[in-house]
This record gives sequence, C-alpha cells and structure tokens, in this order.
Amino acid sequence: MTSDEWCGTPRDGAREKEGALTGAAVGTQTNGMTRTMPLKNPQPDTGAAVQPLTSPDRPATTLLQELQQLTGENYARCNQCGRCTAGCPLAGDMDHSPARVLRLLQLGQAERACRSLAIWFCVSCQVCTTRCPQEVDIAGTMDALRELARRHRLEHPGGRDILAFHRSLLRVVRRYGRLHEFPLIRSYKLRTGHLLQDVLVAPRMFLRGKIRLLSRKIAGAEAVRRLFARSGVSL
Amino acid sequence: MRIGYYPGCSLTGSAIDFDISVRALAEALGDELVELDDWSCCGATAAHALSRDLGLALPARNLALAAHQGLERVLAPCAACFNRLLVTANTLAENAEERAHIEDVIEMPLSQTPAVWNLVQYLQAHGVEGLAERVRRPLTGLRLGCYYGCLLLRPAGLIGFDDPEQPTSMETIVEALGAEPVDWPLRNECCGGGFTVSKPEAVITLAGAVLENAVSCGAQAAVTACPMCHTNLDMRQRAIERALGRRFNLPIYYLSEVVAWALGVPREALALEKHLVSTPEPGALLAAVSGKVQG
Repeated sequence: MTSDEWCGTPRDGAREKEGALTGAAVGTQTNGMTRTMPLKNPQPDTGAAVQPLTSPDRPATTLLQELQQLTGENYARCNQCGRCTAGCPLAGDMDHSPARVLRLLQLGQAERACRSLAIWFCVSCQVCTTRCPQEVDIAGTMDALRELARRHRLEHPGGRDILAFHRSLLRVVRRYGRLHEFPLIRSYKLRTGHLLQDVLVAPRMFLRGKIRLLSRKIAGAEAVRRLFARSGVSL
Repeated sequence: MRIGYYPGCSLTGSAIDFDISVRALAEALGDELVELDDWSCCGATAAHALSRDLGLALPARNLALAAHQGLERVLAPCAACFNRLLVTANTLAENAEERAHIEDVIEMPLSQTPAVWNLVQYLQAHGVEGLAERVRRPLTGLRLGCYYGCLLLRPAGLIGFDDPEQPTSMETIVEALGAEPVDWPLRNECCGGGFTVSKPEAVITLAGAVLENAVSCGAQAAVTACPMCHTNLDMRQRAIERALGRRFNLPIYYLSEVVAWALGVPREALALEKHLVSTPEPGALLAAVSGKVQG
C-alpha cells in the first residue's frame, strides 16, 4: 500500500507542519482522514532535526502523527508541570495521569496512550486545558485519543460501560434527532447487562414527567442521520 | 428582547422543570423566546468524546438553523449545549478549512452564526440594577451556594465567560435579589457530569464532595445553571447520602427558579415539585431556616 492509498487524497491547502515529534512506526492505518489542524504555537526553529508533521507529500505514517493531525498539538510544549493532573477529578482512578499520558506522547508511545484506561475515565471537565500554562489542549487530546483508540481497536476493556453509554446516546440521537431518556436507558441496559440499575429512582423520575415512554423523531431526523453518516463515525 | 431559544434534549425530558422555569422567567422579564425550529441534539459530551467531526457537526447544524431563521442570539440554558454551541462557533470561526469541511458534513452553510448565551449571560443582559428593580420578593438572608460546575466556564480560552477559577457572575445576580451568596471552594469543581449512569461511583464521590462543601460553608440551598449538575446534586442526593452515611436535605434550585420567584412569578408557574429533593419555594425555605415569617 502506498502512502497515498493509505491516507487518501489530501485536501487542497493542507499545510506543512513544523516542530513535531516523530514516533516509532506502528504500522497503523488511517481511514482516509487527511484534514489537518493548523499547528498551534509552533516552536521557533532551534535547528534540531524535526520532521514536518504532514503535507501532501508526507502523510501520517504513525499513530502519533494521526493524533497530531486531529489536534494540531506540538506535545514538546508540555513541560510536565503536573497542573493538569492536580486538577483532574478522575486522576485517582486512572492508570496514567493526564501528565503521564502527555509524557507517553512525548516519548512516541501513542499506542500505549490509546490503550489506556485514563482516556475513558476522562469526564471532559476541561480543567486540564484551562489550567495548562503551555496552552496544550489536553482535553482535546483525550478526545482524539478516544477516537483513535476506536479507529484502531485499542479500547481498554475497563472503559466498556462508559463507551457503551456514549454509543447508546449517539445511536438514539442518530435515530430520533434528539436524545430521549427511555430509549437511551433501554439501549444502555441491554448493551451492558446492568438491568437493575436505577430501578428505584426511575419510577420517581417517570412520575414527575421527566422520562417519557413515547419518543418521536424530529422532522429533520433524516438529515441528522445523513450527518452521522457523513461524519464517518461508527457506532 | 427577542431571542432564539435552544432548550436542548435535557430540558425536554429529565430537566423539564428547568425549561418551565426559564420560560416563566422570560415571560416575567417581557422577553420573547423563539424556539429554534426542528432543532436537533448538540451531541453533548458523547459526540466530541468519540469523534471530532461529529462533535462539531451536531452543534453546527443548530447554529446553521438559527442563522437560517434569522436569529442573531440564541439562549441555551443547558450548560453543555451552551458549551458545545459556543466552542463549535469559535472553533469554526478560527479555521476556514475545518468550517468548509463541517459545512460539507451538515450540508448547510455556516457563513453566519448567532451569538450563543448561557442563562447567566441572558440575565446579565437585563443588568443587575434592572433585575434588582423588578424584585417583588427579596431573598433577604437566604444563604445560597452558587454552583457553576464545569461547562459554563471551561475551556476558558474558547468560552470566555467569567473567571474560570473565581467566578462571580451568579453571585452578583443572586445578590441583586437580596440573597447572601456563600463563598465555597468547590463551586467550580466537577460533579461527575455524564458519568451519572456509566460510572455512578464517580458522581457519588464528586457530587458528594460538592454537597458536603456547600453545606459546611453554610449554604441553605444550592443554585445551578446546568441540568446535569442538577441531576447529580438532586436526583442522586439520596444515593449520595446513603453512600456517605449522612443527610444533606439540601434543596437544589435552578438559577431561573430563584430569579423567577424573586421577580414575583407564582409558585404554580414553576415546577419545584418535580425536583427529587424536597424544594420549598425560596420564601418558605427562608422562613423555615430563619424562623421569621416572610410577607
């Protein structure tokens, strides 16, 4: 497979990136994703031998480069200060703290980052991104790591329920155009087998009109379904 | 004021009480809420958590709908919807290539997008003095813990609303109603958000810490502007009490309920009885905690 077949045809205007780290090639494939983010806060040229991130002549060949295509980040900016970890509400449950995940990326170990439990326990509170003194979008990096973990089937089994919930939610939205609690909970329970969860509180919610048994599609449900298909996400 | 209205999925379901109170509040303020025609889900956390394209496309569709309907401003009371709509608008404004790509995904143009307001910004538009003048039932002496959660404030670079570490916007509003906001450290700490179903022990820990902190700092009730936070603090309060072995009995108001009531909206027009934790109207709560009778 040539690099072009691997990555598809680059969009017009794809820019050459500078200052990015390269990682060891892991033989990964992309799904034709060629849209690249403009690199944020590029480092001044220090004369070190760095590879441009991607360009029409140089598509992503590593998982790390795929990641940087999605985020536009230069992970060399992280100085491992640890503010992200200190502020992370779920850090205590993670196998790798947010700072450790960034360290893995700096060391070219993107696959380990994608395989981590940490990315699934991230609750997207955005404290890390807000507090990072180097303006690295750590929360956005967690998003991209989840996307790549799914793309390359690297999901940690411990994140099963959380991933199941996201998928159930999005499938309901794809079908109806909006989220309805009853099909969401039904889909989640069937997917995870947690049949008795919340059986005590559900009736109280139902009696208050907060869960309805009948769900209706919006008029534009078909347009939303097309949107899902065109976004390329698999559920 | 005529303003676009994006209720979002929660406000039509599990947070119907929030929607009821926002509409009652808008009527009391003399504003017209124009609900976006055939709006769709913003994707909340799940979309951007699994796919960058989907995470931008779902909110973008609603921005395009609003523009198509000639709405210059949209009020999104749900903090997650507000966050996704605004982050999407700002992200796509900065990157023409990505904007063109998302226009392709949603099959709609994005050349113009409306301003996106959260509930606090909507109230700020009326001015603190403007609100104070309209108060019919002052909340004098009521100690309220204003709870911001995450998505009203962060990521600060793209949201640009209030101070992410020491916010004051909600406190300023409840002060205008005569209440006494308490200062408490965990008011902008995560409640556990979307993990309420998929990792409930996280909510027990995080929302539990929030409730304990609010109570220990003297709050007689909490006030929130996010339906997910409300769910975790209200719907989950009994479960948290059982897990931690203590009682809180802390009423959790929506900001719109507190403001609407202070402005004189009758109790029947609100939906306090839909909360799971017994939530008296603010006057009754004040009377109960202070022993005084409120006129």
